This record gives sequence, C-alpha cells and structure tokens, in this order.
Amino acid sequence: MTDAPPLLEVEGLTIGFGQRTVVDGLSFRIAPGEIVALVGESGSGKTIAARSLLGLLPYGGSVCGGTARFRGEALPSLDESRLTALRGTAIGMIFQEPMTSLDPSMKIGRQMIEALIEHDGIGERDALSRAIAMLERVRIAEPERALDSYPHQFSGGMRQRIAIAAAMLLRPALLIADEPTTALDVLVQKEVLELLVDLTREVGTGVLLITHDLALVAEHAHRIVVMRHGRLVEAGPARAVLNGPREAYTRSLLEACPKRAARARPPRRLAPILEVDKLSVSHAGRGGWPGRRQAPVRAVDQVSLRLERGETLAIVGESGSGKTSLARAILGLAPIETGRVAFDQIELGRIGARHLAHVRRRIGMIFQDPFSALDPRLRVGAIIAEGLRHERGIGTAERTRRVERILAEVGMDPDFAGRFPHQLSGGQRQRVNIARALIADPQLVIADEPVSALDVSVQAEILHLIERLQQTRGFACIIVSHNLAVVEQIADRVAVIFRGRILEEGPRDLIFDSPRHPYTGALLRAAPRIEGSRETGFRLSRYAAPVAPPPSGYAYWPWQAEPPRLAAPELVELGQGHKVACFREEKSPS
Amino acid sequence: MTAGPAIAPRRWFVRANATVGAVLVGCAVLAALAGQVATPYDPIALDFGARLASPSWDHWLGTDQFGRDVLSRLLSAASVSITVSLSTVALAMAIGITVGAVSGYFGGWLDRLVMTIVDAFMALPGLLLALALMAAVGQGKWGVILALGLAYAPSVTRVVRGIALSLREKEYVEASRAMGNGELYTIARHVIPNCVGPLTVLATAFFALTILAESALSFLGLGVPPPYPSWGGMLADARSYFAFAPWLAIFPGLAISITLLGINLLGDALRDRFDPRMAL
Amino acid sequence: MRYAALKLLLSIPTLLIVALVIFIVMRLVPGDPAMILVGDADNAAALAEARRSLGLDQPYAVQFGAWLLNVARGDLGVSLMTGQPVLQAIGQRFAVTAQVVLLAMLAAMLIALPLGTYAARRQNRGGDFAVVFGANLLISVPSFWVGLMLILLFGARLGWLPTVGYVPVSDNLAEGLRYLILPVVALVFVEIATIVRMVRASTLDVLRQDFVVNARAKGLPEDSVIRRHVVKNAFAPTMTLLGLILGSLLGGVAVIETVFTLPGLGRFLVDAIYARDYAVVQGVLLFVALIHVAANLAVDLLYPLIDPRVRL
Repeated sequence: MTDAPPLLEVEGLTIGFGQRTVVDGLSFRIAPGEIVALVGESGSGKTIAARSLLGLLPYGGSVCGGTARFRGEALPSLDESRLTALRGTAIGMIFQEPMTSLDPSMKIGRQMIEALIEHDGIGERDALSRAIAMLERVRIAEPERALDSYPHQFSGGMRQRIAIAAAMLLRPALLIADEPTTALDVLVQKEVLELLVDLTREVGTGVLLITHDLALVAEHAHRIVVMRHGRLVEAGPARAVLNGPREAYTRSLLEACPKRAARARPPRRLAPILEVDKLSVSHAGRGGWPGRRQAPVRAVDQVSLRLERGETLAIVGESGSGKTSLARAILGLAPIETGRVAFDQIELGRIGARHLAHVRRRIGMIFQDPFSALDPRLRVGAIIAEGLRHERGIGTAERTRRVERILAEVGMDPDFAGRFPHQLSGGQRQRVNIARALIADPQLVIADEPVSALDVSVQAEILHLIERLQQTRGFACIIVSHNLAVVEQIADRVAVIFRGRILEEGPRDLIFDSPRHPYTGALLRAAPRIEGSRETGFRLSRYAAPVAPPPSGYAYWPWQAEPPRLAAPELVELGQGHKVACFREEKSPS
Repeated sequence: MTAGPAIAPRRWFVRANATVGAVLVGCAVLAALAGQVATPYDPIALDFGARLASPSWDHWLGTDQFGRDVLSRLLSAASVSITVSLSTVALAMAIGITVGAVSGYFGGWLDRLVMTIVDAFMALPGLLLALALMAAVGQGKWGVILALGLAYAPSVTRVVRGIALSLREKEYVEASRAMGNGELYTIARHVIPNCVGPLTVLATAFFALTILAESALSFLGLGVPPPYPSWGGMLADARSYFAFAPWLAIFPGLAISITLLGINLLGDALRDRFDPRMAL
Repeated sequence: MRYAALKLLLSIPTLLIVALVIFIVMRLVPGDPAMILVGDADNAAALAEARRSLGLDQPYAVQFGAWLLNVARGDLGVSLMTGQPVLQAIGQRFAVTAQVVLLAMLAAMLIALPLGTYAARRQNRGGDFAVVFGANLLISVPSFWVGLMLILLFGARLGWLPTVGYVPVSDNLAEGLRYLILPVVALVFVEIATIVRMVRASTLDVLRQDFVVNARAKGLPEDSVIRRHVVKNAFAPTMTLLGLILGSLLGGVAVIETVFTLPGLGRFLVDAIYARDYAVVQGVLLFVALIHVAANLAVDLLYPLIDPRVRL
C-alpha cells in the first residue's frame, strides 16, 4: 500500500477568510484504499480543510497557500467544470447531520440517481436498479419502497445509511466522511461506522474520516492526523500514534478520555435525599387539533429510584429514552402523571406552588446547552447572583463577594462577572452554569448532559470540577447522559433507561464489569475507550460485557410491540444493590 | 473558488442603510417640528392672488388652488402625519404586546381562544377594516388614531405572540423557573428584556405601515379632515389640477416616499442587528 | 383528507366572528338609517315605520341572526345608492377587482421570484445590494401616488394609455387589458418588493443547508442545484405569505380603483361609506373576508405539495 502513488497528497495547505487564517500549512497523504482519520476539536479547521478539497468553501474562504493533489491533479487550481466532473465520482462526501443532508422535498430515489445519471449518462431504470442494490447493501428494508419515500420518513441512522449508499453509488476513489456518526445514537453509531468501513473496503475506496472522537476511529483508521487551531500537530500510523504519541496535545486528547477511578463511598446517613416511586410522565401526543386528544406518549414509565445524600447516580440512555423527562419531573418542571417524587421526605406532587418554589431552591440544575441556558442580556455576575435572590438580608457587597468566591471555586477569574455570555467559550459558560446552580448551596444537583456540547479536552476539566465540588460541598448528584465513558468516571451508581423504563440499575463497577441486561451489554460494547497513560502507552479497549444478546425474535422491548406480546418485566434484585428487569431473570411465579 | 473579504461589503451596506435611513428620518422629524412652529407661510392662509403658482423663489414648491404655499402645507402635514402615526403605533403596540405576550407565554386554551379571535379580525384586510372603523368613529385626528390602531392591533398581537412563544422555550427561562423563581418574576426579568430587539424591529416596520395607511385614508377623504393639511389629502386635491399644476401631485407623494424610505432603511439596519434570520 | 376537513371546519367560527365584528362596527356608526330613508327628522310616525321595515326595532341578537340567515340565502339586502340587490352589485364589481388583483399577483410573482433568487445567489455583492435597495425603494412609494404619476406620464403627457374608466375584458380583450395596465402597475410595486424580500431570505436560508452543499458535492452543475433543490424548498415560506399578500392587495385595490375610477369593489365600498349605504358596506366587508379566508385555505391545502413533511 505504501508503494502505490498516493490518492491524495496535501502539502502545506493554507486557507484563509479575509484576514483570518483557518488552516495553516496542513500536510498529509492518503494511499488508495486507506482510511485516514483527521482528528481535531471544534475550531481546528478540519471541516474547512476537507471542504476545500472539493472546492466547497463557504463564501469568503479561499486557498491562499500550499496545495492538494488528487491523483496528481492540483485541486485548488482546477476550474469549475473540471471540479464538477470530479465531485461525486472521484471524490465523494458524507455529511454530519442526517436531518439536513438530504433534500426534504425530493424523493429518495430521485436524489440518489440524479448524480449518477448526470455523470454516467445511464438510463433511469438502470440507475434505479443500481440504487436498489446499494440500498440492500446498506441494509435498508424494502428498498423499492424506500426509493419512493421522502427523507423525513426515516430515522437518523437510516438516513445516514441512505447517504452512504448514495455516495458509494458513484464509486468514488476517495470518500470524505465529515463526522458521519456524531449526530447519531450510541448503538447506531457503531453500526453505521462499521457499515461505512466495510463498504469502502469492499470497493477499495480511500476514506478521509473527520472526527473529534479519537477513540471511535482508532479502531478503524490506518493513519491518524491530529489538528489544532488550523495546524498539523501530529500524524502517523494509527497504532504508533496511540501507543506512543509524541506531542503533548495528542497526549492530552488521549488522556482526556474519561477514566474510572475508585470513588469514596459516602457514608449512608439519615434518610435518602430523593425517593422516586413508580413515576410516570406523559406528554400529549403531537399533532391533532384543539379538543381532540392524540394518544399520549409515555416518556417515563413506572420508574423508581433512591438517591442517598452525597451520592452520584447516573441515568444512562439514548435519545428518546425519557432520561431528560425524568430529570425535569424530579424538579417539578414536567407534570407527574402517576407515582410520587419525594425530596427530603417532601412529596413534590402534593405541595403548593410557593412551597415547590422553595424546594426548588435546594435543587440545582445544570443544563445541557451552556449557551442557551444563560440569558444573553445579563452579565455573568447577575446571572449567578440570581440564585441568591431568595436569601434575605444580603447586601450588594456580600452578594458580590459570594459571586466572586464561587467563580474562583469553579476556576474562573472574578472579573468574568462583568462579561456577557457571548464573550465566553463553551467551557467557561458551563462553569458559569455550574456556579449558578451551586451558589445557593443545594443538596441535590441535577446535571442534564453536562459535557455533551463541549470539546473532549474541556469535558475532562468540567467533570473533574464537578467531582471536586461534590467532595467539598457534599451534594447528591444525578447525571443524565448518553455517554458511558463520562458516566464511568463520575458515577457511584448507574441506572440504564430505555423507552421510559429502567432496565438495569446498580453500583458502577458491577454494571460496567458484569452487566446482566443485553441492552446494557450492547451499550457497553458500542462505546470504545482509550486506556492507558503516558507512561504505559495508550491502547484502544472495549468493554467485554459478556452478556448474551436477546434471543432471536425478541427486541429489547417486546412489551411495546403492537399488540404487546408480554407484560414488561419487573426489576429483580441480584444482590449488592444490582437490579435488572429482564425476561431471563424473571423468577417464574410460584 | 474565488473570494474576497466576506464580511466587509455587508457591513458597509448595513451601515450605509442605517446612515441614509437616519438622515432621511431626521429630515422628516425636522420637517414635522418646523411644521409645528415655523413654516414660511401660514399653511391654511388663503391667498387668491397667487393661485396655482408654479415653483418659484417666493414659493419654493408652488401654491395650490387656494393660493396656499405648498411647502408650508407639506411641513405642517408632516407634523400631522407623524404625530398621528406615532400615536397609532403606540396604541396598536400597547394592545398587541399586552394581549400577545400573555397569550403566547401562557399558551393553552387562552392562547387558542385569543388566536381564533385574532385570526377572525385578520380575515379583513387592515385598510378595509380601518375604513369601516372610520365610518363608525367619525372623522378627526383621534378617530384616525383609534381606527388605524384597532385595525392593525391584531397583526401586532400575532407577531408578539410568536415572539413570546419562542422565548418561552428558551432554556434560560426554564432555568429561572428551575431555580424557584415565580412566573411573573421570570417574565419580567428574562422574557420582556429579550423582547426589546424584535419589538423595535416590529415597531419600525409598523410605523412605516401606518404612515402609508394614514395617507391612504386621507387620500380617500376619510382621514384627517381639513383645514389641517395631510399628505394624502393634498394628493387627493391635486387630482383636479393635474394638467396645469402637476407639482401639486408630485411633492406630497415625494414627501411620503422619502419618509418611508428612511424608515424602511433604518428598519433593515435594525433587523440586521436584532433578527439574524431576516437579516441581509 | 382529515387535515383538509379540519381546516375547512375551523374557518367557520372564524367567519362567524368576522360577521359579528362587522355587524357590531356597523351598529356603532353614528347616524340613523331610518332617517336617511325618510329624510324628515320630525315625522315620528314615518321614522318608526321606517325603523320597523328595516328591522331596527328588534333586539340586536335577533337582528344579527336575521342578517346571517339572509346571508345564507344569498340575500345581502338592497343598495341605497343604486337600488340594486347588493349581492348582484358585488358580483359585477368583483369581476373588475378580481382581474386587477390577479394580474397584479401574477405579475408580482413573475418578476419577484427570479429577482429574489438572483439576489440570494449574489449575496453581499453589488447585484444583491441593488436588489435590496430597490426593494426598499419600491416599498416606500405609495401605490396611489405611483398611480397618479403614471396617469400624469402616460395619460396626460404621452397619451399612450387610458387612465380613466374601464372596458370589460369579456367585451374586448385587448382594449380591456389596456385599461388594466396602469392600475396593475401601480398596485404591483409594493408586492414585488415584499415577495422579493421573502424569496431572498428563504433562498439564503436554503443555500446554507447541507443538502445544497451535498448536491454540489455530488457533482451537479450549479444551475441544476439551484433548479432542482433550491427553488422548490425556498418557495415554501413564500407560499404561506401568499394569503397575506392577497389580503393587502384587496386593501390597496380600494385606493387604486379610486385613482383610476375603476368600477370595482373597493371604490364601491368607499362610495357606500360616504353614502351611509350600510347594506353595501356590510355585504362588501363580509364578501372580502370570505374571499380572504378561502384564499388562505387554498394555500394551506396546496402547501403539502411543496413540503411533503406536512401531511394532507
């Protein structure tokens, strides 16, 4: 492979927008059939670099130095007609957001074949049959019907597979995949990525895989190229980069993957801070008109939990699992349908609005999107101080002091208090969120995906911060996340939620080392991790999770099939606080 | 792919819009002030000796069929038009903000009820509704303000409701409630201040609309009654004298156009600042 | 089908409320219709008789119900001005108004759609700035002033086109159209500006989307990309605007008909207001509301054709 002339040769590529340089002297190469991972955090310039290869820079951008040669042809200097001829057939592209990368008003079939007809000039019927074959290859059921459907009728994972099929239909020599799995759920990510790798290997297509997730690609990539702030940091064969990274930044990326550490078990004293008992939350179904009710959707289905003081419980689930609705219901932000939620023995469903407001002040919430959770018109200091509103007898001076103190606690300079949210970075905003949640000294903190919107390196910092604060202040914490690695680092106990039901619950170590539910097992196996350290070297690892997949004919949710085939299994205690709701574990009724 | 500096031309354009707009609006305001306090001639003084004089050094913009100085009448009409329009905007915004904000924020059956009523009102085009209301409330400055204000209040309500709806979904509003703050406090502290931008844009666009509507009403003879001059009224009068005194029709229309252009340019610049979706 | 039926059903309460509003407004108008009929303020007996014949002695609710019942039967009363049944008068005049309004909409769309797309493609460059500024210019000149200036230029000075009066198109197509040109041109400026802005904004939105970049990345030439992927998706928001545009056209046409002395519905309304011909005012307002609601309904029903995400 190394002897063949390179498919793509990038040398000193420099791209600028007006005065700003976004990519600075990038160099790497891709051999035919090779998978090269271009890794970088947000703002690293990786997407811009990729788009420049196809001449698709956004308005205002231009290549101002260096070059990129595809099979010897210098791409930046090609004219539009030559570029158009190359696009799709020689170099193909897949985009990050499956929701927006397909034309919503055009049928799938037409979208798939229009480029084929344009380039190869073959007839429509021919093109359609090739499209059907490709759809079968990416495991889309009923491909003929799919051709006649619109994008919105498919899920995100399916749309991404269709996009892959459409791109590979043109049999490009090089495929640029721009964060192809980032917007997908954990289980689907693994599936789609493996499909992509298989298909390209079969056809012999080279792949430029752009990502921010080093662990995800380390398994499949032949070579890794690391970018930061537009510059090349490190490049080399994947194994070498992983085992012995030369640059500090690469090392920090590898080390930032969350790690498990021993957690001091908080002593169990007094009553639990939170008790949730067979809680159910429903949303009204969407659509329909006033006066007519659509079938309500059960977002949370008979969930029971206990949280001790000072403990951290992680609720893990994919999107649509109900985890966010659960968190909001605990705060009283979503109406409780049945069941009860008791905070410090106070039943939230029973108290009046004023009392509820009172109780809420003892619970802090950290929201997922750090930017939209902060009022853009208020300064940081005012945002944080709002949490102190209800404490009587605090003068302005004292208020300022407390704000400065907590800013220091979350690792920020006190004069950030005078800035506006849009002047802060993502990590800084999240720190402000945390400060605001903690200033009233809550006994319970609910963190809804606290690090999902942040860069990998910043994620680690914020997680450490939350841990540290918990140790000094002793609050209990509920973390809602879809990311198992995050959960592994910070949780005492883990509850796995799927379609509103808790499938498995237990101490962190037990869940990660010996899960019992096949869904948990699948989630664990789908999450790649990077283990190791600077001294011992890093390596890719996966959770073993030796749980047998569900027997054939069963999905994870047979009780939700129409008509319901079985009653939902109840949680069964396995010992040491480990519970699982699984048909295999159900004791037969005596 | 060629490119130039991407942002600079746009910023220049927005700034040019804002400047030209501000200048034109400033002129209109000055004209209105002059119309109140100091016009070259008395706008309602008749002077049969100088009837239908074409523009000259004595009368810069000529005189009308009663010998009244066109320039003075224009300036006086400016003050009438602008005060009437501003009052109308104030009235419609007051109604629209109150009803729309409450309806949008609280949602539920209240929202549906309000929107059904608003939709019903909007089935009638604004100008026609204003015409009918004019018949009901009678002529006079206050009549015009009331009729126009009521006629356009539904559209304002609809827009404000939309703004309130989108703000309600914002995470920082939810965060405020999660902290234990009450509804009213949250609205006052977080929702209303963030409305100011979009509302300013709305008010500017609406201001232009009312000036136009007021002129149309006056043109039809159903607006501000004589002897107070109004741009629309001057245009209506000018029709009979087209053949030999075209300046009577040209200048009032020009005045309206210049004022409206200023407001619209300014509005575009404001929209760029506050509403990135409809921006340039 | 369910969606369509729902929309249809929902428009009924809307129309009822509109009718109520119109009724209330008319009852607020000062002046006594009975007096106008009789003409003599002192003849109490005649006044009482007139009131009875006009149904004014009944409680308001009954009057409203009676009116609605009549409307359902197609009886909108008789015009005080012409003695003609109101419905018939409206029908005749609506034909004129409809021609002007429809031609204006057609012309506006034909000009504004390509112009807006062009401006979006040339964003932040000279062409775009020219179009945007031009749109601001067009939207600032009052339509009735434009009408007057057109009359001045084409009628008085050049004498090319007729400026007053009307010839039905059914009588003589070419002549009829000649009479319509100036009014339509006067009316169309503002609509062009409004549509251009909307099309430009939504095209810009669409151009930013991934699927457009995707289309280019597949190797489709730019023109195909615009034609096949951009135009249709950009049209959807504009389509929802069409109902509103029709509404504002129906309002503006009243003034234009006055300027050009066209025997249309708008001028009929204005005349009726002057003459205190309440039957006509009520009838015209109700009719216009009906047309407006029907047009919006039509747009709603056609929308799924453009955007398949919305189900019919």
